Amino acid sequence: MSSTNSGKRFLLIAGKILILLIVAIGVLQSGTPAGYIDPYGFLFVLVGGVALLMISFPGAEIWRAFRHAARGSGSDAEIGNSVHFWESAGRSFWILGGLSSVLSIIIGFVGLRTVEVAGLSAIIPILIRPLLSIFYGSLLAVICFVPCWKLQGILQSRSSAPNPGRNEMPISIGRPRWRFGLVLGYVLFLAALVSTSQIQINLSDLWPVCKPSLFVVLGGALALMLFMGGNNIRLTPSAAFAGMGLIGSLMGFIQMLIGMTDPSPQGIGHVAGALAFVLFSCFTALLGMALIGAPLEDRAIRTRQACRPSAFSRVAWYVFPLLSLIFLVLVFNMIILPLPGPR
Amino acid sequence: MNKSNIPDPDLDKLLKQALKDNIPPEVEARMNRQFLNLKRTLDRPESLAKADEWLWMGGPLQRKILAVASTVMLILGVVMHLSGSQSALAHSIEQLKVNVTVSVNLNRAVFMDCTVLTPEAGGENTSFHVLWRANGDARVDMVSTAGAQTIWILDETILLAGSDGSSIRSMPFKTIASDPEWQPAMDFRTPVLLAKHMEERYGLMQTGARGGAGSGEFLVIGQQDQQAVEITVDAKTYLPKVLKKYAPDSGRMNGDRICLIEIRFLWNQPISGELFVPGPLAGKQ
Repeated sequence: MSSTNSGKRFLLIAGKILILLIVAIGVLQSGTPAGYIDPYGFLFVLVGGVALLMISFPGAEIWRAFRHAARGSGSDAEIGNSVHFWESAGRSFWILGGLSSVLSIIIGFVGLRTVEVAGLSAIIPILIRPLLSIFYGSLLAVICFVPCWKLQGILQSRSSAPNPGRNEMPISIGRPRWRFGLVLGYVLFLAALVSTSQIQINLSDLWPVCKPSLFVVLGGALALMLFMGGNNIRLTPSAAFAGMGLIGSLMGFIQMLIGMTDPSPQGIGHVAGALAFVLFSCFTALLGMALIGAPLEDRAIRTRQACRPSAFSRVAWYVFPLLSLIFLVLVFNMIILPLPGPR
Repeated sequence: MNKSNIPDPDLDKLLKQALKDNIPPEVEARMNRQFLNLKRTLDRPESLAKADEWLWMGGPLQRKILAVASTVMLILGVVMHLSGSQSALAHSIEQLKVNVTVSVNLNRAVFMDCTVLTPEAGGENTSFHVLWRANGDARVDMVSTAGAQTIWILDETILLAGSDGSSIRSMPFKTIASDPEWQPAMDFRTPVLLAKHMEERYGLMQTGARGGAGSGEFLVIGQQDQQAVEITVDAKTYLPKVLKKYAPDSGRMNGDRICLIEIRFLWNQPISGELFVPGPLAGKQ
């Protein structure tokens, strides 16, 4: 019996390796495998994602989640925590994919000031990097969702088959304290963000650009959270950030359309300002979700203030990065679209 | 209701029999643990209150501070945005948009009439007059101290009047393209070529109304081989009106800038077809 099982396991591993090989060959055969490589984007998504996990989870829980992913044994409560960990990991990489794509298009446009080439040929590579970033984010997210789904399956099979031997973790309600890992996580994330941006552009160029949208999104999100009520356990900072990001982007697009009715250089200036506002609204909202919204919700779940992430948060985490990508493509189109001819 | 009306006095026994506790022991243990946790929580009311809200939204004073901060941030953000202060990002986007619009309009041009002036030492100029139409035909008239000469460019072939004044000679385009005498005009022989230079060679990075530019036009400034390139663009048509190239470092020491080449453009004004017919007398200007 055990030899049959080990044989099946080897077959399974061989099958997985074969699938990975097919994917790798497919990528190599596509003609330009080097085109899929963006070291800055990949490092930012990877390091940033790990930092976000360090912010949300203590080291022991991270280690336990990896152990569960490998073996799948443990109490229901522990596996439940690991399911939450892997979902958070997937979510973090996905949000960071979106954040990195917005950041790289901003860096690309700001960096154009020092590039000799100033036409359409210079713009096309700027769109490639955001797509690569979202590609890395989604790839890492899917990798993290695999153990999440696997552990969820184990939990479901256990709930259908009663097992008197398993034990539950006691519910812990308490005020979470500052941990070393949390501080380290924030430091690591900010270091990744600053170094990724600093390598390619001067950060002093970036700060004046992002101030208006930063104030609008941060102030608006704070106001939304206060209005939604502090006594509501389903209060979601992530939803507030996503909502304000959407509002900021819509403000930008409205201003852009108004600017397009004026085909003079002033009109172009308005259009450019509006597009910059759209980009930074998305950036600030994603940053707020990653650094404030998601860790707060994770902490609430870990301390049993909530049993699972709210539906609003999930919509914000999974839909807003996609929406940002759509906005990026729209912004790109608006730039390469010539202004209407003289009236 | 009176107690004496109850028929069976052993009610407790009856209830115990009816509601027999047959919960499995592990479930009972779990329920007890939950109950103990709940009891422990209820003993500490502050922890229950905290459980219902995000930690940093604590007391009413804190809320008021946050409300004021959020209002100030919102107002500040909207005012800063609407004040229209240009940022590095907006500037880059603006520059790109101008370049794209000029480039697209150049590619849509139907007729081009441009005059190329190249000042030479001693105050003498060599001038070229380039005429181009959308089907690709072009005519270049050169006037220099050595005399006047005309060439026609048709399908990558150069036609020029012979020395006797009556015959037409043809030669491959490459021979003229590499000739330094004709070189200044060859860079501007078609609008598409001009658009390509603007995109790839001039590195146009600044825009804005400056110095010589009037109200209906704006300047686009770039650089090519350390020479400053200035293009005056019509603000209505987004087509270049004047292009000037200046010598490197000229004008830095408060002196006059040395103009190396000046090109004046007229766009989309119909040009007689006769001018594009090769011949010593055809369409003589």
